[in-house]
Amino acid sequence: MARLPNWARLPRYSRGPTRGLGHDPVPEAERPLVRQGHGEEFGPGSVLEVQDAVADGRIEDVPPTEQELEEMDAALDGVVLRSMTRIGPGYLLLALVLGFGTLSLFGAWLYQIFQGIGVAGINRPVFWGFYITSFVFWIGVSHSGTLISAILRVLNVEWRRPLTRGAEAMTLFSLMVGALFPLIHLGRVWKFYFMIPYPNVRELWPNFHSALVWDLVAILTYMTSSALFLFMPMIPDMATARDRTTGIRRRVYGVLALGWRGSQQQWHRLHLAMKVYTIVIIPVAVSVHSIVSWDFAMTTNEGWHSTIFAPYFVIGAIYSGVAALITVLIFVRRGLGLQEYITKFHFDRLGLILLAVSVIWFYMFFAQVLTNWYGGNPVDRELEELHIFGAMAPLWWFMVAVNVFLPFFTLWFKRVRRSLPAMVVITVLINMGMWIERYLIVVGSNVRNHLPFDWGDYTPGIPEIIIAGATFAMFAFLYVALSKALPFVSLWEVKEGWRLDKWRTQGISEEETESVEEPQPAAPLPSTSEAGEAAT
Amino acid sequence: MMPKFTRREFLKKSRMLAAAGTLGLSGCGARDDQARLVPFLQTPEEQVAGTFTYFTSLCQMCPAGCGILVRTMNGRANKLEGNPQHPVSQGRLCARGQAGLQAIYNPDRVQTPQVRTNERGDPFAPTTWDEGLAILAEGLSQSQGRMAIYSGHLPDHVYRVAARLLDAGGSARRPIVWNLYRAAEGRNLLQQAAAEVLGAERLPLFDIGAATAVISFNAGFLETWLSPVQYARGFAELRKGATRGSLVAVEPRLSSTAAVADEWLSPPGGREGDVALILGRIILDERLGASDRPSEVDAIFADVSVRDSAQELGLDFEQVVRIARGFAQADAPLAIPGGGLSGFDNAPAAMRAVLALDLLVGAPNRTLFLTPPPPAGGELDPREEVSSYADAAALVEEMGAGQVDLLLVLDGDPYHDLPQAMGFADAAAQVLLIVDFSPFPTDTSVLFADLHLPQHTYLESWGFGVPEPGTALRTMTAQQPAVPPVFDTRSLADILFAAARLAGPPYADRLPWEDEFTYVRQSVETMQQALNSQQIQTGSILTNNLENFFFEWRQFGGWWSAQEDRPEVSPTVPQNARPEPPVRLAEEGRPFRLQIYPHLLLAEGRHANKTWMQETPEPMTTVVWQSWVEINPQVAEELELETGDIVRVASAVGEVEVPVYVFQGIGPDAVAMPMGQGHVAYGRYASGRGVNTVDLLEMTEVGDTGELAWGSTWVSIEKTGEHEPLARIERSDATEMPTGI
Amino acid sequence: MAIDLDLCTACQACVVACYAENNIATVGEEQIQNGRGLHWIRIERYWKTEWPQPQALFLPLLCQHCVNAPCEPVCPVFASVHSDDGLNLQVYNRCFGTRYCANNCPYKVRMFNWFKPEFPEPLNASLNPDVTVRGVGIMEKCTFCVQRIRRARQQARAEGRKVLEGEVVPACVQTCPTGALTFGDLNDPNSLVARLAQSERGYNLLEFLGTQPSITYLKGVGAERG
Ligand code: SF4
Ligand code: SF4
Ligand code: SF4
Repeated sequence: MARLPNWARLPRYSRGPTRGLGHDPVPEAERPLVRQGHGEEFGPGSVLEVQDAVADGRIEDVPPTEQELEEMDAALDGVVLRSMTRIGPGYLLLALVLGFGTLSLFGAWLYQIFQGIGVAGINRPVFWGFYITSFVFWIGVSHSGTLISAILRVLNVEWRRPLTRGAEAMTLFSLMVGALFPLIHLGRVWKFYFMIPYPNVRELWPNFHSALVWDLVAILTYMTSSALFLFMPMIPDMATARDRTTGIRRRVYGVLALGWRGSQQQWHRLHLAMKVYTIVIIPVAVSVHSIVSWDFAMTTNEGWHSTIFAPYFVIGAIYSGVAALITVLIFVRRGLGLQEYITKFHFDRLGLILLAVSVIWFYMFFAQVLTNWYGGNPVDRELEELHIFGAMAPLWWFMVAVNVFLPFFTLWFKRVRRSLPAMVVITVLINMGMWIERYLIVVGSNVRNHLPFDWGDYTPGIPEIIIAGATFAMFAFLYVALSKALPFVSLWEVKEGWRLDKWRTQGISEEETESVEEPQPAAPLPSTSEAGEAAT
Repeated sequence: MMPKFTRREFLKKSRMLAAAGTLGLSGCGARDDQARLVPFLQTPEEQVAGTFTYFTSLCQMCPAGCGILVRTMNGRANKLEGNPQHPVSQGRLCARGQAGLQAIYNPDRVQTPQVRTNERGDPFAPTTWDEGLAILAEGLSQSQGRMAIYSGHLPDHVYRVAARLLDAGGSARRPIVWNLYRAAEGRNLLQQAAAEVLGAERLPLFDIGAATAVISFNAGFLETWLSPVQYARGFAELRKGATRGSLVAVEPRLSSTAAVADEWLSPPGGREGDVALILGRIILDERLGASDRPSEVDAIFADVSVRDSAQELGLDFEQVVRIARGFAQADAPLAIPGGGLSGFDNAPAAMRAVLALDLLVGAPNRTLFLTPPPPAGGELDPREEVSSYADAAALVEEMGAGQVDLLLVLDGDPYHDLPQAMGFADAAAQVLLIVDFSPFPTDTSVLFADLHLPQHTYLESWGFGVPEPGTALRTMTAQQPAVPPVFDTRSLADILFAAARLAGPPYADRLPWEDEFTYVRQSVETMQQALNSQQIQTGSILTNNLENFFFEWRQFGGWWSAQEDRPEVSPTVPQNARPEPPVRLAEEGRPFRLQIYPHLLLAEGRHANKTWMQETPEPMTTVVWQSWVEINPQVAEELELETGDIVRVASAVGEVEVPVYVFQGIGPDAVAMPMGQGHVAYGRYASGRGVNTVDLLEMTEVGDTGELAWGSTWVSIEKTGEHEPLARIERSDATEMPTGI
Repeated sequence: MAIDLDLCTACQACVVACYAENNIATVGEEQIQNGRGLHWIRIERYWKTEWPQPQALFLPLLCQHCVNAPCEPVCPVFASVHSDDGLNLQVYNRCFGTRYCANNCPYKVRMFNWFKPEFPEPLNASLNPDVTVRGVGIMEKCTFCVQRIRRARQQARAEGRKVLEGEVVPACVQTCPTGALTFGDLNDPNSLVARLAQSERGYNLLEFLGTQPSITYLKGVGAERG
């Protein structure tokens, strides 16, 4: 009987409760004989085969021993912390390129500030263009990070564990990028503080009737809460990092660990806080994109003025967010060498979610188009004609192809979901499609307004193109830069998962009884005094 | 001791806070807190910077002669308004009139006298007035009658000074005031027709307001023709009458006048006269002619075959009959022979045909009058003659033949405004001294002038004007400086007087005035004496005292009679009122007739240096800042052209490349182009912009009238394959009527 | 304001008058190609029918000074506000250029300063001292010539009376050669404009949006005119 190698334990968590592997074992005599040992026949990366082997009953699904668990912990810590501390030339080059891209954003922005916003291609009647498109896009991308992570946590989906950190970080970074756009698109950005409710002698406040103020509030709330959402579960990991590093890093991590010693009480509070927070952040996330949609839906413009807009935007945001998450995870996994922890199984599952979301999104999209088409409102009708047959048709059809047909005809297949190159292509295409969808919404309704005399067109200006493009560099840059500072896999959660799994399949042994309620990973047991000092 | 802060209390407090927050937020709404918001809002506009001072004056942006008010503060003019009491403008002003501010404060004005120290065409060198005037005086003394004066637009008082100057120099010429804008107005031809039909060689007075049915025969009277503000007011009265008066436009291009007309008939260019004949014949057939019509008038329409003609002209016969009935049955019908007719060699007959139609329906003395004579007296006699194309052509020819040594370009730009085919450029090379007096660096000045003595704009100088065509009130409008001169310039009359003084006799004798002011004042004196002697006491100014009269003349913006004076028309039935089709029909390889029209805002190009005029859209196409060629949609489809495609428009004498505007209102046999752009110089806003469409014109005369048949050039259209988006205010091609409008 | 479509001849006098009165900058050919003209009032030319029987219709379009103005609630900083006399005004100092109001104005009459406006010397001398010159990055639009209203109101206040009918005329109304535009106090039932607003020819532009414009358009009444 073969033992399942340690590194291959991970995918097990990814199995849903219904897929009780090993519950229906093949009779012992019929099982093929598999040699024991670490990765001897299943090298790293062959997770799929291991799973298949387990499923076929070729190998036995044996939980790790305590000692093995500790080995696994150490291996995980090693991989993650190594990726944090090692800076190779390839990394530097990448960071340099992306940094330069980020700089070009600010360069173009400065140029625009000094020349006047007119260097952008926006005009009358297309007052909003690439900037607001990018804004909606990035806010959309920011969605799924937190939302997916929160939903998976709430549903207690075990395979989430290695993914949550990356997802939450994605939220924060894309929010940081997205939140730039309301500033970039201002005619007089140096007066942006007018929007902030600060006490002043004229007793002038921002207009709380304006959806833009709602936006400001929503985005700031979301930014704060998703930063916390990222940070909170990172505290134990910070402590781990503190204990495994030296010098300045150690000090910084020490501060960030907030005096984490791994005491019962601390674990208890962390878990409680996470439980509450996870639930609370879901409505926040939903409301943020609803509010972004209300920027449009609260107007009189045909094509924007629609009741379905809030859910449509939210689902669109989740759609592009999940796609972005997959893309990002594929690259992060590769870049940080996390193949053992983020496996094809994850992409398989995320692919399924993506498929489901794409179908819901298509449903709403279809409802929107259909009602516009049949509504009898001539401007709505014109708008749809512009999209479907007119000047915007290439974009529109591209969007339909990659956002409706592409996922539907590919993601049903496990082979596709498990093929990383295919997933990269699909998810990137989906996000291109989603960007275009936002573009069609933002620009389309302005191009076709109530007065045909003022129907316009729009060609983006060069600064707009640079800025919209450079945001991708900036997003990647944030990711790349912070990958050297943050553990991109939640160490303690993964470790916790392993133990939970072990107990679940094996029952709890005597010596572990007291920690059943609050599972406690073995790894981050700091030398208390030092940690306390560093934290204070 | 700290008060104990319990959980319950916390919740209570936070609930209160939340409530306060809600209140606070809603308190920030505009409605509730308006009192605080509004003062901030009003800050700039609430501060009254001072009190405006208004000066009356005379608009010189077109020849119509509206009285204006100049609103000034701190010696700067900041708005022009119509003078509410002035008979022509009555408080209104057209688009061009409004833009006078950009003439005086134009950043490209010539700021000092300039003299050419090297080749013509090289940059000028600045000089002083003393030197400049000395050169001019020298030129005057030397010219020995070999002197000529050209202008595109000359204020009344300067015309008289200029005429005297020529006289004094022994030149037999009159000042030439001619360009394509003038030609398109067709003043001369209209006066001649009036002489034949209405009995006096003056412009007719079209009382549009008193009419109830108007047919305009190619008269863009709501755009640029003759006196647009006056006519627009008439149009409003026509529409607002007890029964809404109708307007029918007969013209080949759908101008904005035709667009506001109830019906538009579009015969081929040059066939508008035939439409008058058809209408007349239908009216006769239906026995709808006026009972008091001169009986001979019937003969004019006798052998018109209405159906055939209508078919030949491509008109809907039913529609024509309907129009004819409506017209003849109206209480007060009026047919207007417009300047557009003057572009064809059959113009005199066509105008007579239209006036004959007026006779037929009894328009004379009901809606059709003659303009009253101006307030009589010495310097105020009407201009003896208006220049014709032949005069201008003769001048250019004499210049070319070396018979002109001194050319004074008083105000205008002959190089730009005269068609290339007239050969001004070559002719100018033969003139020894060319002096330009424009306030602006015109093409002529930059390329040819040897001396540029910049004159004031009209808001800086004195003057007077007799509007032509005037209203039923006899008028002499006052022009006075409203602001001090912006630059080191002088008024045109002053320059001429000073030069005459320097040149000595005979100039000094014929131009004895010290300055423009004395001249104007003396003219007003003369007028007052004439008024006294003619016992016209019922004018707008009731004083007899000369001092007070002059004061009030300036204060009210002029003198006008208090009673309407509509000289009786004694119609005679014209001889030849049967226009032949234009001689020049489509030529081999040039299938489109070129319809050139004065730009509503740029006119012939005078206003191309004013940003307001450049940026205000031409009403039908909404194009700004550019030249374009209007092409019929069917033709455009055949030639596979769309709006913005650049085509080569070529006539026998020239070719230009312009973007296409696919236009609903032009027939398939013609293409239309506005005048106005294509300057070589003329300041930063005009130079190098668009094309000069008059350069395409061939020089065909209208019979023996000496006028230019400016509508009879035929062109070819060739696609270049290039495309440039037109600068226009309409943002799309699809501007069909939406619902809810 | 009431606009009689039967009288408007598209002569553009109002357009230029507004330029002069309100210090509106011109932007040049290239910017117009991008649709960035700053005309506070423009004459929209529609085709009711096309060649061979073309019928054009002119629609003078300026800010409708909506009672229920969609441009107001969307402005995050109260730059687009209602004055106590019912005008919809733009506070230039406060505007920071989100262009949200312009998106939400169904009449597309809000004009944005994409660049710093230029008034090369001595063109700046023709600026109206009563009206602010707007800078880059802010929205502007027809104010019903608020500076004239304020002047008249101050005058009337000083004389202890109400502003009289006809005492205030915006520049466009003042110059319109056909008198197509009529301005007055809609709250005064005897004013000409209030009576015109009751006209059976009267309608509001895009009425179904519920913006309640202060401008009443009087339909053209001629043969088959819109
Ligand atoms: S017309 Fe437009 S700018 Fe004017 S008040 Fe209405 S919504 Fe506002
Ligand atoms: S009311 Fe004043 S601001 Fe408004 S369009 Fe007329 S002139 Fe311009
Ligand atoms: S001034 Fe009057 S007639 Fe002329 S375009 Fe404006 S509204 Fe129409």
